[in-house]
Order: sequence, then structure tokens, then C-alpha cells
Amino acid sequence: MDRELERIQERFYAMVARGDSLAEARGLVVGDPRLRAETRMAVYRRMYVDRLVEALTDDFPKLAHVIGAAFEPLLREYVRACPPNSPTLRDVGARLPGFLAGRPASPAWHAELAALEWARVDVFDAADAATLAAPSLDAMTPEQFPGLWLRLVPASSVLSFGHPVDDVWSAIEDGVEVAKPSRRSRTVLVWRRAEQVLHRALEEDEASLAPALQVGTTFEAICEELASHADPPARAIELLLRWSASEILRQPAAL
Amino acid sequence: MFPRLGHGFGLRPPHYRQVIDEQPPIGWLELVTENFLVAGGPPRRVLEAARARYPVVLHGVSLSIGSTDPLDERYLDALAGLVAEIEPAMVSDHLCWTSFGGHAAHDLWPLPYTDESLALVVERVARVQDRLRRRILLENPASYVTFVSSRLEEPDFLAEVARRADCGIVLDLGNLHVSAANHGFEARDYLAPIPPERVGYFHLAGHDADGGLLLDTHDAPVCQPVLDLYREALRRFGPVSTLIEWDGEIPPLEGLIAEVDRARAVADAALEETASGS
Repeated sequence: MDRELERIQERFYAMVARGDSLAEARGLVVGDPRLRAETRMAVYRRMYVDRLVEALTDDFPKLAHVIGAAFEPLLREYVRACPPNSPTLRDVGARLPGFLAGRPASPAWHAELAALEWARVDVFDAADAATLAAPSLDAMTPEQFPGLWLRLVPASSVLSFGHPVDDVWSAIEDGVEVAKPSRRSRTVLVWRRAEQVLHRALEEDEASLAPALQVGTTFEAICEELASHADPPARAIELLLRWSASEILRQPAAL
Repeated sequence: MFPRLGHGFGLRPPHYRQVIDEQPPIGWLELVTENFLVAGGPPRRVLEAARARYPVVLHGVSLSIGSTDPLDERYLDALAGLVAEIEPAMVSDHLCWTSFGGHAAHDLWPLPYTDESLALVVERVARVQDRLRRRILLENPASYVTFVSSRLEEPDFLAEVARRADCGIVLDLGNLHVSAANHGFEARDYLAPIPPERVGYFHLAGHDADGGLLLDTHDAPVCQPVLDLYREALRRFGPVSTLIEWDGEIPPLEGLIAEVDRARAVADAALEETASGS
């Protein structure tokens, strides 16, 4: 089978996406006195990078704010290191947090801020689910509570950080000057409610419950996990009502 | 072969809510397929609401019909699922390649027009159509290069793909204008080889210029030469469905509707002239 087309596409890709010399364009594409082959190929190289940088800038505005003028060169470095592997442009930023985490020149909190921003992108179009609402809770008998199945909605994500990057996010959002965050552990819940993406820091006992809530657990198990609290059932009810009001719990099948 | 939907525009995020709430008087909507290959959330609700109000065409940018990479089966599965759910009036993508070595370009790269690429595209279109259980349509790309190895002219290649694969054509008159300027051919000459029964719809869009080339930026009103080309195309192909594409510097909805009305006026006049034999 003739593989000339594959060779042409390999050379085209190498010039446009890998930065190979545009002199390779001669003999591949037609040039003319008006525009040389290299000039014509340069259009594709510029459009390839510009489109990806634009999409990434749209998805990571807070990171762009803190990095400033160095953000675009950073994105070009990222695109070169992690060329897109999904047919959906929406996914182009999925590996940016990991890229930053492995980049010695990037402070750890940059990667964490990127992870927060990416989680917000990701939950925006995650699967829908009916949520556990107050009327359902009101209709329950006391005997039903221990076995009540609690699980976070699909459009949610729980992130553990070594820095309070949610504070950085809020400062930028509020137009307040951003200081480099000090090291302080923070667990952040990101979720979608109706058309809105929200996030907030979890309290310490909420954070300890998060892994179980992600896979599904019972109200009884929640109370057991809160054993060190002065009044575990009361605290469990308080959290349940808060989570229900925030629409972060799936409607159990049994209710 | 293809439905006559009248005039419509490409629905983009700035207008999602307003179009669903106000239901402007247009014939149809085109949506970018990849924006809705998601699990849920606001995008899927927009798609369902748009579909409940208008005929919808799904227009993709990542089918990569001309790539030597294998067809992306996960993408095809997702597309097939979306098509089965939405039942769009038409499904289209581009005569181009958008991936190589497992990496996505997120750009529409041109093909050399050779016997090898013709056979490859025909075979892949057949497989896609089998998977989707319907004809697809391929759009002529705007291009900035032509290949030394090309044996066929683009309209002859596109016509031959349509004939052999039994698929349709989206005739993008804005892209045609851009390509004609960039490669020094007469845009009207492109129309003759295109089989009229294969044209499912026209695209009309604005463009920009940079460094001696026209760029299909889709961020401006449709220029007069493209409207003239549209008039010519209507005379040749008849009252084919027509879509205004505006992807950047998007105007308020009223401006987009005005552009649709402008195209409709051109079409009404052209078709009346044709009917009267003038």
C-alpha cells in the first residue's frame, strides 16, 4: 500500500506542531513568487498554537493572572510537551496541572491553582443527577436515617491542596491583590448546581468524610466517623442539611 | 437527497440562552458537535432545548476523515450516540485531517488530492456512514497551501468523494472565496464540477486578511464577493439550505439575525430571477 500520504502528513505535522524547520515545506507544498512555501506553512503553525493558547487562557484565567506575561510562553511549552490527545478542544487543559506539578521552575501552588480551575471546567459538563432535597429528608422516618445512602453528585470533585489556592482564586475574583500563599492544607469541594460551578473549602470533619461520600456511604457510617465530635448525630444532621441545601448529594434510589 | 431548511445560523455560547428563550424566526440551527459530546450539564440542556425548537444540524471538526491515523472509535461511538439521541437533520464535518500520531490538531489541515487520499477518504466515509446509519456531508476547507503531489483539483476530488462514497457536500462559499484568493483561481470555476444533488447546504461567513493571505476567521459580516458567489451558487444548485457562520467577534443576536435576513434577501432575488428566466 502506498504510504506517501502518511509521509506527507508526518512532515506537515512535524513542521506545524513539533517546530521542525519550515524549510521542509519546499517540495511538499506549492510556493509561488507571491508567497513562498515556508510562509504558507507558517500560517498553519501559528494557527495551531494560537488556537490552543486561546483555549487554555479561557480555561485558566486565574493562573494567567498570577503568572502574567510569562503565561503564554508557559502554555507554548505545555503544548509542545503535552500535545493534545483528545478530539475535543475542551480537554486540552486536562494535563496542565500535572505538567506544572512536574516542572521544577513552577511553584507547587501554581499546579494546585491550575487543578482547581481545571476541576471547575470538568464539573461544568459532568453528568446530571437528581439531588437529595429537603422535602425528601422531611418525609423520612427516624428509622430510615441510619441506612440513608449518601453519595456526591457526578458533577463534583474533591481536591486536596498544600496551599489555600481557593483563597487566591477568590482574591483574584474580587480584584484584591494576590499574595503568594503560605503552606497550609486545604480540602476544596467543587460542584455544579444548576448552571453554576461553585467551590468551597471543607471543614476538617467534612474533609475526612469526603472519600466515603465520593463512593457512597450511609448516614450511620457518617455518624461513626464523627465519633470524636461532642454530639455525632447532631453534627451529622447539620452536615446533611448543609449538603442537601447545596445540592451536592444524589437522590438515593430508595427515596 | 437533503432537507430544504431555509436560512439559519450557527448557534454559539453567547446566544444560547437568548435563542432558546426568544426563538427568533429562523429556519434552523447548526451546532458544533464537539461542544456537546459531554456527559451532561448546561451544554446538553442547550442542545435538547435547541432541538425542541428548531431543526438542528451537527457540524463536527474532529472526524479527521483524511488522516492516516485509524478512525477514532471512541469519538465515533460518542458521535453515533449523540446522533441517535438528537436525530439531527444532517451531520457534517470537513474534508481535511485533524490528527496525526494520536495527537489532535484542533485545526483543519488540507489534503493532497491524489488517488491514495481519494481512496482513503472514500473508505473512511463509508465506514462512518455505516456507523451512523446515515449520509454525512463534507465541507470544502479554506486552505493556505496546496500540495506538490496533488493530481486532482479540489472540486473534482470533492465531487468524486461524494459520488463514490454516496455522501453529501457542505459548500462553504466563504472558504471557497478564501481559497480562490490564496491560490489564484476563479471561485466560480469551482462550482461546475460539484454535483447539484450532493449539496446539502451552503455556509456563508466573513474572513480576515493577513500577510498576503485571506484567513477564514468567521469573525466578520459576509462580504459582497461571497454574496455574489452565493447568488451564482443559488442559480446553479437551487434553494439549498443556507447557514450564516459567525464564530468570533460575535455580534448581538439582532446583528446575526440581520445577516441571515441579508442572505435570505439575496436568495429570494436570485431564485426569482432564475424562475423568470432572466
